[in-house]
Amino acid sequence: MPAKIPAKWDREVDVVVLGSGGAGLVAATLAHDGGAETLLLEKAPLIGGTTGVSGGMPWIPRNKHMAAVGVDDSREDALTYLRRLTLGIEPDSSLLEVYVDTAHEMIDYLEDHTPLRMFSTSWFADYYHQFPGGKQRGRSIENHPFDAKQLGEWAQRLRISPIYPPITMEEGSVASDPSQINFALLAERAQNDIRTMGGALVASLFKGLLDRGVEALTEAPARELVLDGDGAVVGVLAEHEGGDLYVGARRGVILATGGYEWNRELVSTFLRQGLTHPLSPPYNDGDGLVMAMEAGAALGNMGQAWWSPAVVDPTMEFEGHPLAHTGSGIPTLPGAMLVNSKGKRFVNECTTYMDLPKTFYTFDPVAQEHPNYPSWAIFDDACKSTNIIFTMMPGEPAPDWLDQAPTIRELAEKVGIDPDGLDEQVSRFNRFAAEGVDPDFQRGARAYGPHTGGDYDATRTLSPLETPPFYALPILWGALGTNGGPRTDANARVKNHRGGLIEGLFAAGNVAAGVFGPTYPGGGATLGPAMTFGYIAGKAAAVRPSRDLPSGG
Amino acid sequence: MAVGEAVREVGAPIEAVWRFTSDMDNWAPLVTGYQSHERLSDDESLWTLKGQIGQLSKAVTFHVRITEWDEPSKVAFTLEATNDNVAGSGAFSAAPADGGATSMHVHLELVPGGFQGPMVNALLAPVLPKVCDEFAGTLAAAIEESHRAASG
Repeated sequence: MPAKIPAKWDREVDVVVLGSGGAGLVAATLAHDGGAETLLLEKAPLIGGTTGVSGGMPWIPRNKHMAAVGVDDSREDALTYLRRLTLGIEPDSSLLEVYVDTAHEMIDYLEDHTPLRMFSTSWFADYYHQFPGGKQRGRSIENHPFDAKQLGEWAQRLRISPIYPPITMEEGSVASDPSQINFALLAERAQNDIRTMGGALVASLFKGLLDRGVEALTEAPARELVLDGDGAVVGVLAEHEGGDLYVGARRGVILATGGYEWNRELVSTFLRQGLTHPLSPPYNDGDGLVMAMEAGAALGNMGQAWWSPAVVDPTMEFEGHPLAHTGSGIPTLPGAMLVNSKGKRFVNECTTYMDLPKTFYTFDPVAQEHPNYPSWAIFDDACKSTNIIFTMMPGEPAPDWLDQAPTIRELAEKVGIDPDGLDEQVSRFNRFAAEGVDPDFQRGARAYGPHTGGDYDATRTLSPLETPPFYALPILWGALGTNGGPRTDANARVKNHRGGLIEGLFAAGNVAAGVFGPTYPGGGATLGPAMTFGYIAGKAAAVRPSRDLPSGG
Repeated sequence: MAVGEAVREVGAPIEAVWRFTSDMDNWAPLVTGYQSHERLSDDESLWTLKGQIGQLSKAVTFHVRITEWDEPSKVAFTLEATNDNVAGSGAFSAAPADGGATSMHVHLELVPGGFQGPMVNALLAPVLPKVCDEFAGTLAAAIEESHRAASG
């Protein structure tokens, strides 16, 4: 239940922002710049939310950096592309227009008013660039490397990726040939605390807040919203330093608390049986969603998530949990494939990380089972010895936790795959791969992989599995985060069930209903809307009339 | 190469220091990130340690071989990760100090290899001295405690 109005507020500000990922940091920046006294509360000990562990690449149609990579964009192109992908089941089609009209403005503002400095990658294509309005590069932009020493003692209190080295996505485009990565440069950056990707995005945005003097409290989880007698949100009850912290918000509360992927009960309620391995920090357990529901928010996009196949290295832990990371690229490597327990391939492995796990939902009504889950990436030693595979470096011995066997049949028996099925599947795949074709799923028939827009031949992804030993790596049901939550309007204000608004409550980022509905148009489809609606929420909250805070008896 | 080094004065005679440190079971749990150890022979053992850099921790198993055993003043060893690209060497040495105390010296070097070697080294270099210092302090306290107990 929402908290009762306290007799006395511990703090009184204009705007309270809950959460410090991309949405929260941008919202706090704009709330401050709109003249609002702003306080940011972060539940975790670290600033950065899910953004901190991400590639740090927002998807921004019509951004000014596209010209530098030779790409034109227009409102019409962006909307045509989005509408083709959302299939009409997005929560509110008018928000697609808001997004296309505002995202580039948001980036321009931040580059003009904060240390954020972005550029368009030269190779990161829209994931479905073959559709009308899609672009072969330019909409996915990323940070220049950022010197975190500028943050002083805060530098060690910002989250960074446990797995990405200090490399930009642009530089990482050579990762398919690890020998081309400049590890000496990465060492120099590591030594000097130069951050890239999500770490750079968080650092540059947080530096902007420090420069403004915006106060941020970590280990300060908001537990309940405080509503007045009319149902308007007037503050939050948080925890801090072992006690209650009542913060009154004269103009508004902005939810930017991330998804609910770590909350097993909410996941099983809204997402059928999937999502066993979230790739986000373990603090995303739906507290913002619960607070919104308690306040009477209408919900949207609840059956969707930012899906991604996941892999786990059991020898590594991050923030107290086994390290899970996206496994989408592994089955796409030459000499690799994805199979189910029957030993059969079931999807073009080069499909996007968003789409691939949707095939895990396939239900066989006769056998009464999900035939495509569990699944495994199968690869041979030629593949392993020439590619970076998750935490395994080329040429290094296979770790104990990776199943291996001298033959395909033995590998299948070892991990519980039908040996006849896998043997037959590998033979068939190899026969066609040697010819550079995949008649079963057309892998390699279009531009290789989900990320690249260039014209590559199929040999970039198709190669027979011939060199023993052979390996099997479980591909698990993961997600970058959930994206269902309170419905919002064009000003990021939270809607109620009766078609009205919950006064004083805003939402942005993964806590809110995702504006793209079921789709993921390109790299940064999570961050782009999070930052954009954070921008909108911050501006809108700052201009709400300030109100006297009520006090209870 | 990442190097860690620490010196401590232990309030116990060198014989007591040696008695404690020559049996790895006494001090194994004091090693930072200790998970388990297994004695393979008089000279060889397997150690699993969990290292932490920032919010990331990783369990690594090392094959340790004793290369020098000079009672009561020195033990030197090499170590090699069984499934990760890192190897190194180390030494523990002791010398009598004033007032019946012992000067204890702990030294450890780690060399990450492979593609990521330079970067891992950059991350490890600032961490290893702290780890060595922490271990030396804990070890010295445990030796003194053990010596007090044995002395009644």
